[in-house]
Amino acid sequence: MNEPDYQIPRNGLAWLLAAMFGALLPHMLRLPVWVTLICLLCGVWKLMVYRGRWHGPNRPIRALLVFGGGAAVFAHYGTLAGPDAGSALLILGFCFKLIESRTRRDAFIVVILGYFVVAVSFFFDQSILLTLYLALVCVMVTAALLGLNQSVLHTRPRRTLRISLRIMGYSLPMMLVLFVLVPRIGPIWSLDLGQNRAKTGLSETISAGDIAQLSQSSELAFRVEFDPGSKVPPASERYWRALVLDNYDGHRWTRGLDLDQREQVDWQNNGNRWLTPPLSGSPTPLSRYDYQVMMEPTDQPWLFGLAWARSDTRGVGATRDFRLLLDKPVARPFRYRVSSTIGYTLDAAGLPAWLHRANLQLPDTDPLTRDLAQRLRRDSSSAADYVHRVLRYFNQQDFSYTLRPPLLSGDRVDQFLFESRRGFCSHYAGAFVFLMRAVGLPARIVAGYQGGELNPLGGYLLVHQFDAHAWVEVWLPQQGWVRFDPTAWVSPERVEQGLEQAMAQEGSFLEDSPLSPLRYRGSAWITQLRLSWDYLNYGWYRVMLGYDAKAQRELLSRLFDRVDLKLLATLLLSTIAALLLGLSWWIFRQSGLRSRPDPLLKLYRKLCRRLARKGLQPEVGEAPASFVRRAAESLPDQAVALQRIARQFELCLYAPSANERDPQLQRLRVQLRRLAL
Amino acid sequence: MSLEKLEPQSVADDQQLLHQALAEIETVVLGKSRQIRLAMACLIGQGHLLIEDLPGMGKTTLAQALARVLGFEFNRIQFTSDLLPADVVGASIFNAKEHQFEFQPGPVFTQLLLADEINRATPKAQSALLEAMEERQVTVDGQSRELPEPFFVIATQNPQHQLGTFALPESQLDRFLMRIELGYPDRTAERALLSGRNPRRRLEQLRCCLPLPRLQRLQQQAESLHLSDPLLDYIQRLVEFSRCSDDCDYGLSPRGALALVQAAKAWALIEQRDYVVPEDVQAVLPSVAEHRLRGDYDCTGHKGVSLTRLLLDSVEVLE
Repeated sequence: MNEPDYQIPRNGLAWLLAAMFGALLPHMLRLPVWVTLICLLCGVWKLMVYRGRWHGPNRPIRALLVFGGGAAVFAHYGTLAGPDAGSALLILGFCFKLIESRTRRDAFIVVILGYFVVAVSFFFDQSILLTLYLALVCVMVTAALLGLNQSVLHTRPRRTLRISLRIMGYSLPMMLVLFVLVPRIGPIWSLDLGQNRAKTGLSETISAGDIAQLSQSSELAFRVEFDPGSKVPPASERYWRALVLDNYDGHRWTRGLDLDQREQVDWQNNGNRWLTPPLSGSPTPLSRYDYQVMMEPTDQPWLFGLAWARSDTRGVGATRDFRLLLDKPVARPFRYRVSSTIGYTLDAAGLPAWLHRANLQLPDTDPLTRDLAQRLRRDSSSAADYVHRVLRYFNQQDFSYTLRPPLLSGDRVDQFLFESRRGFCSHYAGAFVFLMRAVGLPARIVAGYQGGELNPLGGYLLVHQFDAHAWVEVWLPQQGWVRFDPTAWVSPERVEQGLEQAMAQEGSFLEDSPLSPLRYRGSAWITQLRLSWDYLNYGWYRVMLGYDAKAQRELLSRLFDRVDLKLLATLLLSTIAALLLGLSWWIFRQSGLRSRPDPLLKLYRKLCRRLARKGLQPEVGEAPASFVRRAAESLPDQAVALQRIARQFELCLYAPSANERDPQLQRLRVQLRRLAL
Repeated sequence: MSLEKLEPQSVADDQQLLHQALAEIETVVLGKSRQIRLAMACLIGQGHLLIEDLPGMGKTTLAQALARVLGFEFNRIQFTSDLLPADVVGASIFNAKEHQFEFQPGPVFTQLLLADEINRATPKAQSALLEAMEERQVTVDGQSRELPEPFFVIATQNPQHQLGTFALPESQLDRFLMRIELGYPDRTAERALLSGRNPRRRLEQLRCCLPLPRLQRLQQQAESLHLSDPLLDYIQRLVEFSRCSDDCDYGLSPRGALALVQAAKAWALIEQRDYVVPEDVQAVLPSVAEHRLRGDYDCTGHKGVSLTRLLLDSVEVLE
């Protein structure tokens, strides 16, 4: 390489390195450590090349870097496609391009890649903080772009940053227009984004006794916003159903019936009657709740809803066991509308045989429990009475609610009911269903979330991962499916006031996450701060992320009768045109302000035009007064007036009495008007 | 002495005396009213003056007349090719009686120095004047000595193309506020000269009509003259043109631009105006700019005249 290497100007390089580091920061937690190390090394290398200490990479090294980087990514992820491997590849490419950039064009490519790396961050997170941060990084990348275009002599990075900020400020209106008006077309290809980020508090299996310590997460599961006019259900009614577990193998509860298969789900409300569960009873209108759920990605298709929920959101279906389901895993924040009616009697007329059978399945274990069940059943007058005897049994014996239960083995239900008697919701729900099924009552475990914190700022509910809960539904003749929560009979606080109150004595609430602000609910201002912050996020979610095709249509239909693609395109183009026109007008005026035609100059030009008709032209470099005096010599009849005008011009232009200029100017105007040519 | 304290009467008196002085000089240097005014403007603008012309055109007469009319203490050095710096600034001479060196000040220690035929001396002798002209002090034997106040240099030089001349370096040319040429007298003036008395006698009879304090007041007055924004724009356009034009090898320096302002103010004062107009700038521009501008392959510096003309003819007074 004998050709002289292009050196990125100092300012450009400084900002490029800063932007590179800034753009990498959000990726660092996700990416393997070696990628981060290579990137930092590349940054240092470029700096050393700039300082003339090291050489840029020669051809073999470049080849090695490119192929080695690709191979390493492949070795780490097992693929080169997909968002994680792809972003790792992109970031490596960005860094390699930086060190090998030898021409100006290369440098521009690095800047464009920088923007790209910034944009890729949004695949993984769209929170308000990250957005603000990435906007800052964008400013830095823009500063780098500016730096590339500045001369090498510009050595004040702060000034470049200021210009960059101004440019970003100018682009804000355009950004808003594009945001509001660009048609929201569904993704052309879908990215599988969530394989390693499922962090739900729910799982498809419940096994009491395997877990000695239930880990809790303070992360948000979903938010519920109730429609105006719909009231918020009391805490004891907030049972958000997500999963039904109906198969017990003596060890764990799993989903026995797979009711989630496409053909078994009622995707349309008016769809398959066979699948629509029979409803009966006449619930009061007061027990109807209309709300929207905004859930965080779970990478599962399960949705959350109160009992007997229906949704008219596209892609949401209802299953035979009254749950809501999305037609694909929830890979990004998802929002759906639900209307729930509490008070319907479900399946009152009787269960289909297959369902009946499935909800009576029991392994041949736990003889003590079976004995207890038979004993209680003999004493009770009816099925409902039996259920209440079991609940009272939980209540009266010395059961206690704990998040640190002892481990169980063998006949787990026996062990739990007669020996340890300490457990959390899964233990109680599991034992309860076992007791029901032992006497021939169809029953199942429902997993979901219970409770939720009301944010007074927005009037919406916050449901966290630690609100995950398991309870029971028992099918009673004539009453259909009835919800029972055995945990509530052991620890009423858990249901009425939430996990925190229930765990007040044990002190195990969120003990894994000492930094979570939720731990400090005792402090009023921390709570206030946390709820305000959540409200901000909620607004961000609603306004920015929730602005989809539907929201766009709703917004525009307030102004226009028919909203279609043509209207959108017209609006978009005309608004951009208007913006650009406005901007150019502004720039035009701005520059015009600096050299606004002087009134005196205008008068002089006018006089020149009048004298030109007499064949008198000012020479280049001739002072106005000289020209007018020259004119006076060749126009003897106006000589006196012209002499006076010449003097007046001189006074106005050059005399020190600048503050008296207006009267002087006025006098000149009068003299010019009187001049008869 | 500040101008504010002066009586209006006295300011008007100064003006009167100034024109009286100009008229006095005109009786000696005939028909050169414009050059005399320029020379006076140069002194009012507190700058050094370079007079360039053929021998016998009245350069020395003009310089002497100025010195007499202003009543200055006056020294003259005839520059020759064997002139040494010590001949200009003075030297330390051993005093055998007192056994120590004594500084014998050279002719430069005076209020007005007439450096006659400055370009006949070698560059070494020429540069002896450099420090004196700009900093108004000379350094001999490592000791700086102040020159009297005021200190003016009026230098004369023969055109470059004459034999036995050493061109003044640009750095030294730039130190002269103005360079003027006298030119042949017109017919009537020459007739008057030929028919009149011996000019040398007339020179001796010149009165001092503008004593030093008066001149200093005029200088202050000139400095405080109003320079409006449009005029500053014009001056800047002139300077920029000289710097950007392809014809100029290099343009006017900031010192040159400052000289232009000083000279224009002094000219406006002589024109009895309390503000400067473009005509003032145009009047002094040739004498201020000609020796500072240089074209391509212009070793004698005589392209400055046409370049100045170009400047005047190309730059608009009002934008």
